[in-house]
Amino acid sequence: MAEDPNLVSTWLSAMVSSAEELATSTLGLDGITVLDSGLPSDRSFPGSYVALVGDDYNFEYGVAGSWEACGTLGRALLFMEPDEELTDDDMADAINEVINIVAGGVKRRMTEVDPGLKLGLPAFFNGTLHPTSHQEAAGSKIEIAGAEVYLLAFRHKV
Amino acid sequence: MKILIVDDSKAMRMIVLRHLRQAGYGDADFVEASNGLEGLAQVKAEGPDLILSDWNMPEMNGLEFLRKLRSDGDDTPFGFVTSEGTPDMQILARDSGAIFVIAKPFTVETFRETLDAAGVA
Repeated sequence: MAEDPNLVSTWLSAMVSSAEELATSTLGLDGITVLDSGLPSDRSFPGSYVALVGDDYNFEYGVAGSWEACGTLGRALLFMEPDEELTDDDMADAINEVINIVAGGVKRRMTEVDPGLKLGLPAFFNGTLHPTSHQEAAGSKIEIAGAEVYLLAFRHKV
Repeated sequence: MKILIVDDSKAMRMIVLRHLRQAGYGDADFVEASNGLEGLAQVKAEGPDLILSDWNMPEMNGLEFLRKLRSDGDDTPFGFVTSEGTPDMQILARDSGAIFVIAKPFTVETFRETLDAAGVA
């Protein structure tokens, strides 16, 4: 790993790479497009979050966007047509699975940095995590399967 | 052939099922469970020929599910389909009796090649 693992941006970079892998494998797409960097100013996004906790590094990872964007991404994961009805439960389940896969890819990419990394169970909620002075955060806005969503990484300083 | 898919995510169970069908297992019968405890009940009720299980699940995780099966003397072929794709987890899975580990994200080709290599008919 050439990048500094002490930088939250390094872990966000692994997350973007993992999202690219999800797009090109399971979703069968050409890839993702990184649209912007930084955290969203809107703090009322729905999204899914999961903990990735290790011996030296502790993170919350999230994928969040508008309800419409989450629906678009959920339908893509479930191979549904754009106009097919998607219940809130199924959308939450699908977005949970997106962050589960993406964070699993981060774990795989960063396991040499922290072999003790353990992946939690994802949770879907409306609103974004708010980093405190004890946390660092980074985000990237991406387009994946026609959905514009944020990839978010929150690091708990130890 | 009867295949048991165990995952707490309904979405992922559907995705796995779709990939299996596209990988050439469209004639199989599929049964589902949402955690290891339900998986154990389905094994007793349905007698599957193959079990595909997630690792991280509530109630009973995939590794506990596999170990319980083996300790009960059940040797149904068992593979993980999981985000836990690190080398250490793969070794742990195999040492516990899994015949393969498919890491998420996956492709139809991943399923085809892995199941062929594992000798799953």
